[in-house]
Amino acid sequence: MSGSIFGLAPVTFITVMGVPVVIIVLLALWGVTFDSRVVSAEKKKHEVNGGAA
Amino acid sequence: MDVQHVLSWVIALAYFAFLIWIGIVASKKIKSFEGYIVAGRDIGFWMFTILVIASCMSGMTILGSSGLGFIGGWPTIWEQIFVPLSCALTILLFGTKLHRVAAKTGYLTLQDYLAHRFESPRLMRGLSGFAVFSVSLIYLVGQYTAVGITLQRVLHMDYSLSVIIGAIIVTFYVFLGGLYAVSWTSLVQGLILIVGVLAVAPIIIFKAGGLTHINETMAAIDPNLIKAAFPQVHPPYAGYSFMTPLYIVSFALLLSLGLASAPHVINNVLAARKNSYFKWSPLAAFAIYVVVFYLIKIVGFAARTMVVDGVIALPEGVANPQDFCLIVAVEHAFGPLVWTFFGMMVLAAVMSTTDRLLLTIGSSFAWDVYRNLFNNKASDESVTRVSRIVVFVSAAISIVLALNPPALLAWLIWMGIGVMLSVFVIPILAGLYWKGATRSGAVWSMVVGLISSFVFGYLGRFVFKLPFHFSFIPFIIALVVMVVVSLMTKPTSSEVIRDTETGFNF
Repeated sequence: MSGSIFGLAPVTFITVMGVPVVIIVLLALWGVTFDSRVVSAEKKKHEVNGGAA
Repeated sequence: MDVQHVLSWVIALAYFAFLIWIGIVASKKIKSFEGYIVAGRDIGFWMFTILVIASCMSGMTILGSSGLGFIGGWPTIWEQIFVPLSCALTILLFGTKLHRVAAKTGYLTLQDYLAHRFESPRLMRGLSGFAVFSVSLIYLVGQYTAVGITLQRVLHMDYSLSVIIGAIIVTFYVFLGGLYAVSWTSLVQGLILIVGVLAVAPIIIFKAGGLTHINETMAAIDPNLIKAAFPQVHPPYAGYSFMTPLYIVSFALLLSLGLASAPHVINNVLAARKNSYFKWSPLAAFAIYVVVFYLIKIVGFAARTMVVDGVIALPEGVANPQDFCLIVAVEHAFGPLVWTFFGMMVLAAVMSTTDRLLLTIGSSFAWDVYRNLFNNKASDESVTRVSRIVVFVSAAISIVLALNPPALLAWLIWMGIGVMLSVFVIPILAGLYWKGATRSGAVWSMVVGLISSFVFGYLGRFVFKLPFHFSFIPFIIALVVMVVVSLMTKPTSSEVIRDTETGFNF
């Protein structure tokens, strides 16, 4: 089959292989931003409580 | 008895002895009910991640998924994305906040959270407890049936005896060791499965002629088998061509969210030792599971090619011959000796879901029904005792049912996941992220979700075929009911909103 990737049409190949890759990238972003989100939530809570320790 | 048969028994007995030993060792760690059902909230990163994967990975994951690939080709690959995604979402979407709040409040089950967040210690707990108990029991019958079929195939034993032996082993270590035993065995079972699939699948694909040959062979059968979805026509032009774009959308909701909210999966988040695990665990769970699961599906495609090429033949006279494609492909590629090891791998996958389900049923009944609805003063010891009794009784009931599995068992299991989507997802998501969600909104959403899922489940099966999974409609109805009723009823107290950290934050 000409223009195919492992026998799949390029669009199909990109769809079935690309979607998991996109999800992996998004989950990696979740991990990278995790600490900053937790810290900012704690900071916000601290401010709401009037800065009391 | 030939050498292979003897070896099968030796491997199986060694494996069973190992599981029982884990149960005995784990029982010594249990000092309280918290220890029994959430392993003292002391599970480490990898054990937690594998526990979540193993709870989702059932017998259907291995045999059913390759079987679906065999008949449905690439359009069925979405199952391989949505199930791993459910593991990531249960940790990320539900787990991060639930774990953080549970560390302060001491929740032991999901129902504890729902009862607290919706200020409904009896009704909400009773409703969700009923849904958990009934759906988990249906699921359990399916798992025991899979245990019986696998053991029968590996050890050449009578089916009934296979069910009873398999069930006794699982019940024994859950009865003794609670979540400690479940998580330790899940780690071992998960590793067996991951290593097994990574070792076996590439060789089968190679022996089938490689991925290009596999895809070309499937395209010759039906060009749509190598597309990302079947054409959007209703009714489908063939029994296998139901995975259309619209069906895929409903399938995404069903598996990614429905399975993520299943109590035997979501309750695992309460057992993690640290909240920081929720940072990388979603990625680890998805990445591991998706690779293993893709390989299992592609082995299904490879088996189809081998059948077309006349290399292998599926068994005749069985209900779903395609579900045996993985077994036949392994036997062809490696010989019966390797199949023995592979059979243990399938058994490990089945058992890892079975044990978690048993424990979920036991803890739901003992904690949510016995302790919180009927006997508030029950001691820790008596709750643990009741939990163990329920584990034993529910195992006995499901063994009896599995000996003569209901004709519609597979449909009942899919129905169970649909009920989870319709009943639990909206109250949990709204409870965690929407301050406006009220007690009445949650109760009515659950009731309407439960009733409408039975109605549309019945209609979709027996009256007319729907172009999407039936749970799509009850899910939308439950969402609308939650929003409308919440806007019309008394808001939740600000104290509860604060204590449960409700709001659109992660």
